[in-house]
Amino acid sequence: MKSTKFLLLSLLVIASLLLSACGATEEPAAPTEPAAAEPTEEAAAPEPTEEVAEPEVDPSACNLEPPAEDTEINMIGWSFPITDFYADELMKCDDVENLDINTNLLASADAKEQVRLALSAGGDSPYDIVHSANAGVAEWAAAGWMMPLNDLVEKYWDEYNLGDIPEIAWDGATIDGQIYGVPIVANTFHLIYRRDVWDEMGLDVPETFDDVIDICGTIGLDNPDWDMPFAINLSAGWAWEIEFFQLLRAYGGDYIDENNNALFNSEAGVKALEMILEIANNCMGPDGYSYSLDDQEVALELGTLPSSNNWASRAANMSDPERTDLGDVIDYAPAPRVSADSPRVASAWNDFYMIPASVTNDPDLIFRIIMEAADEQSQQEAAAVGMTTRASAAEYGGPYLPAALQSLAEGIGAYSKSQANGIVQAKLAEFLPLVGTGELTPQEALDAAAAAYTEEATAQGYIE
Amino acid sequence: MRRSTFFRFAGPSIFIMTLLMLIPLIMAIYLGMNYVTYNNVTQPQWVGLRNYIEVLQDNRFWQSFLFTGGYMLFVVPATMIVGFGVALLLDQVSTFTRGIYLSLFLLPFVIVPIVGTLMFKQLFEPSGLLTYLYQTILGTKFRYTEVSVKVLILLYGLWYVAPFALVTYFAGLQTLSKDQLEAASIDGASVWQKIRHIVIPHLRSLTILILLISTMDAYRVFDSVFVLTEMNPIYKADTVMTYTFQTAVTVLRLGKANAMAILTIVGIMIVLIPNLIQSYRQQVEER
Amino acid sequence: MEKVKSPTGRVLIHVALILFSVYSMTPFFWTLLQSFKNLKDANSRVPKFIFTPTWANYEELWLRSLPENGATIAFFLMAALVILVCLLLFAKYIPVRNGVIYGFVIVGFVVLLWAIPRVLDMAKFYDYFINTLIVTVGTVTVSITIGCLAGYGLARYAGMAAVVVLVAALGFRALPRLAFVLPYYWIGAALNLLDTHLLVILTLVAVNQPFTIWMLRSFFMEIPGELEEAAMVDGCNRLTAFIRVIMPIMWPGVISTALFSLLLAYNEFLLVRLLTQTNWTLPVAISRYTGGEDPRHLTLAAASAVSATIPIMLVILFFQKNLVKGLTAGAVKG
Repeated sequence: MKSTKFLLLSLLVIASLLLSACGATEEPAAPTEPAAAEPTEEAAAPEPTEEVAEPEVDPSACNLEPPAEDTEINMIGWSFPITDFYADELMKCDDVENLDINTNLLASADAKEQVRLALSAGGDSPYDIVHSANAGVAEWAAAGWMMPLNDLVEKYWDEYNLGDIPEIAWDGATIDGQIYGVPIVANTFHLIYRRDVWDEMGLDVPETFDDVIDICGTIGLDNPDWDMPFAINLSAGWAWEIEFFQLLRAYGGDYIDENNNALFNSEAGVKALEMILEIANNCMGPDGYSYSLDDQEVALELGTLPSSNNWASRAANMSDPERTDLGDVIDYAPAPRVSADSPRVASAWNDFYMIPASVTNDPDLIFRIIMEAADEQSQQEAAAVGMTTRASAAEYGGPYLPAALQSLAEGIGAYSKSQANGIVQAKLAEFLPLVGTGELTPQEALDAAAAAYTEEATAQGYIE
Repeated sequence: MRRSTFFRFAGPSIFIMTLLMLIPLIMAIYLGMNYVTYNNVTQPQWVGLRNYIEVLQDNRFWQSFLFTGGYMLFVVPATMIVGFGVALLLDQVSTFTRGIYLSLFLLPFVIVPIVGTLMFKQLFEPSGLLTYLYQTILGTKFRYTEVSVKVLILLYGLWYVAPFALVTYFAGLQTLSKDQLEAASIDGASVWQKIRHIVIPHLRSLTILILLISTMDAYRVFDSVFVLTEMNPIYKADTVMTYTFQTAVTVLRLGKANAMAILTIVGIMIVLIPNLIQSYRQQVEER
Repeated sequence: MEKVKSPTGRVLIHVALILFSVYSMTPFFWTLLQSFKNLKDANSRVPKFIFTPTWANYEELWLRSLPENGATIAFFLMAALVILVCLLLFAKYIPVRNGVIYGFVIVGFVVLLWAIPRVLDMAKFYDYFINTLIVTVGTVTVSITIGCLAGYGLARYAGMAAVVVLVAALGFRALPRLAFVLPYYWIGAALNLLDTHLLVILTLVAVNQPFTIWMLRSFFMEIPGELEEAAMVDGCNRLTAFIRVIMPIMWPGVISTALFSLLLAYNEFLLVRLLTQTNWTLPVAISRYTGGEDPRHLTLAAASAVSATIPIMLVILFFQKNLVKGLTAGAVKG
């Protein structure tokens, strides 16, 4: 035993010496921003606490008067580059005296479950800031768990130039005139493609999905140079649901009517599913059903996928030299349509920071912290890693931004804000993938989902 | 020892087990009889046995039950066989080398299950080592399908539990009677015959112990399935635990989830009760 | 079994054992490798064994920003760590009472852990690590204390109550966690204990008790009853006899059981995930990277997996014999 201990000890000493030595040779790396951000911004990142007393307003620091007592602010959300950036922005306020900020990040499904669990029990909310997407607005605001922010928005409208955030983004968080969240991220779908590859093959940017399928034919499904000619995300139930939603609306259909009755098992729904199957069969092959978003992003970055109709947030990563060497030859175009006069197959998304109704801390303070993270300066920096909401930040955006904005403007819009939507999404996520495996025909799957939805929605009281 | 002294010693333990295991169990049975979702958590709605019946009629529940059964049927025998084999081999090497090997073999057992599954999964990602080997050796791409995900879960189960069987059998081998073995050698028995007729019978009670514990643990498998399937129903690789979890936090039917948990317990009790009875009799005898 | 003599036989045996070692260790080694790669190398379809290693993933995980004199700080922290470990390993050779040394080492570690966030700008992951330590130490302490008492009682008392407790415990051990979790959530919410370490520790102790008392009981039964009888004849009461006479002999068994409690508390995912909102432990913190929402999570997940495993690896290296003994505790009894 003695010899083992001695061996262990010497290993430990050697390891510690090595570690210290290695630590010395490292360049101090920037925390999360990619090299595309301006160098002067990065130097301002760790702020000493003395700054708070300065009369000058430094936009990159947290400009708040310290609260009277020790305050702890907890935020919950999930992790992708731009939301990570905003979480770090929130942390800047941690330097303010008496203020302690915690950003608690999980995977998105887990984070949402945590919020549900925490807020459904009633009682005080453990979270002061909740990061959520559109679905969260419908589900949580309508359940009364979130605080309407109209007064606070009005109070700080001028100070933080909140008119800079377009009406349509605010609208995503508004139910019956009550604003429930501050929009910080925008997102949509658009084409990401290899300009050099398409140029070489003489291909034009497609206007409709039929054009896309033609392109797939030209490149060839079994082309050894590529994983597949073109990809959409069918790797999970929720992925099918999103693609279905976009196509359904593009074909003129919708999920539910004003009384929450199911509409999605209509002819438009069947057409949407048939189009998905066509894309899958002609452009993706059997590999497509397990080709996740991460797989697609990496494939685009490492050069094994020539094109995809994908999230703008993923497109933002294409300019990051740490992820890819192909940034120069990747190009962007608005999402295709299904026919010459249909909307573009691109839904409108926003991420928000919301404040739960039962917070124990001062909502004014919380709101101001959110404002500090979402101010003009922060969004200008954020624009390098994702799609922001402020109009003033647009010029700092990446090369994908014009395509994204056009997709948004000409796309199918956002989900309805009925609470029953969540049930529709859950049921569709359950049944749609079975169309891919061939177990159900499109009509069967949609009818089954509609039946399951109606049953559940009635039990929960959304349908009379 | 007097009875009062016994209760004084065992009191804290009994108290905490009653408070935090017996009572919650009863609560769970009660909750299973209510319709509870996140919207009415503070005012559950009494529905009697409806949740229980709904669970029993749920196809996906039975599917997950089947998969759990299949998982148990593979992992338990496989770990016992592999554990036994490696224990025999380990018995053959010197004490020092044994120590090193044991440290390496124990690693899968002590790693956090989520972490272990994550590591396992990374080998099979598109960038993973085994994906690459699979493609080079077998010529086809490795894809996540119903079959491949289930195979991964089973392989992980084996990887994770084998050390337990391994070490237990190994300790059992140390208590083999040398005289018996020598006598067998003199009688001209080969290695295989010795294993069959001396070693295996000696390890019988150990085998039963390993069988019991790994069956109970296999029934409750959760972490690995959670990570490997990412709760995607397309792989049809739910186990009873993950489906209960999904019902609670994804489908948002807390009452039904409780009912499912209780029915799950009923399921394991079928295996467990004979053993409990045997244990009870054994304890009474020993008194 | 007597050893196989033939050289080919021995070689084959070692080959087989090495293959099994490879099988056991491959996931860990691959993850270790991935954790030192930058994003492009890690995501490469062809696994790269030759690449430029980088600490970036660990830095991002543990630190919010790098300090200027990072190397000096790292050196001092490492030196402190090495000194504490030395004290622990060579306690025998130092002419001070063992208890004092262990106490000093424990205080030293606590001071070190307290000091680190004050010299370095640590990220949230460090907080999660501290939470894990608190929960683990708390669970082990409480669990072993009440478990020893109960195990002793069960070993020495011959009445029906003991049988009932033992069989009930066995039954409880088989129950799935999920059956308890939702009621725990209600209890926690009612007592306003959600998100506290206390709730997690108590529930983990409760869930762990059946296993603990069975294991400790079997260790206690190996010690003859005459020992404390003799002490009691001399005038000690049962409890004093227990503490003074039995416990000193029991340490190996206690350590074995403590290791299992430690593993259980360290590895717990479900209970922590559902009962805490912000005070997560490492397994829950790591699940942030398992969602597939950013390819960068691949290397971060690898780094977090390795970070979470190193402490446990150290534990088994130190306590390997005890762990084996614990696993076989039931074995000898059969």
